[in-house]
Amino acid sequence: MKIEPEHPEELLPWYANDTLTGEEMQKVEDHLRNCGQCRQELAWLQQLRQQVKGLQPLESPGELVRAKLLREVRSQPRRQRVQWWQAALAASLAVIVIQGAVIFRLSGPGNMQVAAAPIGSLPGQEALVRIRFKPTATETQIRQALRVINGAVVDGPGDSGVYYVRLEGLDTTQPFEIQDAVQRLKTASPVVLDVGTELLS
Amino acid sequence: MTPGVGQEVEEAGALLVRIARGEIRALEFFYDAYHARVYSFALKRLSNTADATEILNEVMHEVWRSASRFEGRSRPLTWVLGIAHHKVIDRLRQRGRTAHDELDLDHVADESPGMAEAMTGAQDADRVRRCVERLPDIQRLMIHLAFFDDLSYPEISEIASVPVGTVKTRVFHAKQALKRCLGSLMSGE
Repeated sequence: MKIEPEHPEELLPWYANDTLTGEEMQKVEDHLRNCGQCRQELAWLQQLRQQVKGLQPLESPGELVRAKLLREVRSQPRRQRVQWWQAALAASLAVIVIQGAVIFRLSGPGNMQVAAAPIGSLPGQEALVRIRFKPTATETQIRQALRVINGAVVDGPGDSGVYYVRLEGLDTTQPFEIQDAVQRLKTASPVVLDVGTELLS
Repeated sequence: MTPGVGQEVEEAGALLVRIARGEIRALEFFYDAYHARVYSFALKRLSNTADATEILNEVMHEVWRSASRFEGRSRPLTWVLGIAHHKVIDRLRQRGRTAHDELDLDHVADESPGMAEAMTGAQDADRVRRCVERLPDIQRLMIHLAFFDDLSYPEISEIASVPVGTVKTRVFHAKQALKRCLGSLMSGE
């Protein structure tokens, strides 16, 4: 008695949508060569797939939800995405810096002044400029101020009215470049209340 | 030309990295790329536009909060629809329905539908739409993921958090139900 090969019926939908690979695809193709019933089933599935793809796309409330989402996200406090090991590393570095300062002070000339170095980012970090504008600042004035430093807003303004700005085209690992941009902003824009920098890991 | 799957994955993956860094602009791009599919996914399960809209908002908030957890082991689409799936399950639970209500559908006996009528019926878009709409939520979703989104069964398994065998069985039963429906619409004319 001839034993009929098992129809790979459960695989046919995935053959029809072209996502089968390797042995399974080969198995289906081998079977299809000799099975009219499965070829008919496949033709039906392909027809069905075409019709499902052609069904009227469901209208997504795209813009409404988009506006709501962005408003809510902007109003949230900025997250510091620092991993535990980064926090531990930062703490270790802080200890080393403090120890170094103490040793330097104990061993160095008593009246020597150590200048505070401006902030610069380390590899894997991003230095952002934190700006608070006067409440009366118009959108045009804010845009003008951002143009001075070639800045792009990446977050804000939150409840505190703070904008976080990335300095485009600037090597933020170079501390003095950031300091220079901050200085230019303070000088050029009358609507800036205060400016700072922040490292984002 | 539409970008290939590889390019889409690469671009969306890069967006998720930027979102993880807190870039709102990247979230906007990600939203624009995926909102329609997330909304469509939720609506297929919930059959309620207000609920589907809320799910879309919740999913995108989750993307904003959890982008750093995306490890690139699956496609971004699979990852985001997986988030949507869990939100939908929560919503169904709130409504007093559970996934178990739908599991029984996997064991419904199928009568043999007439292939000739089903073939003819599948050529008519309106009949296909009516029959797809009559499917139980879970089967309608499976058909949508398999034939609208062209996802593989392992991807659907990941999204729906069910074994691959369950995905195959559900699609099999959905297919049989569609055949029966199309066949009966044809013979009823």
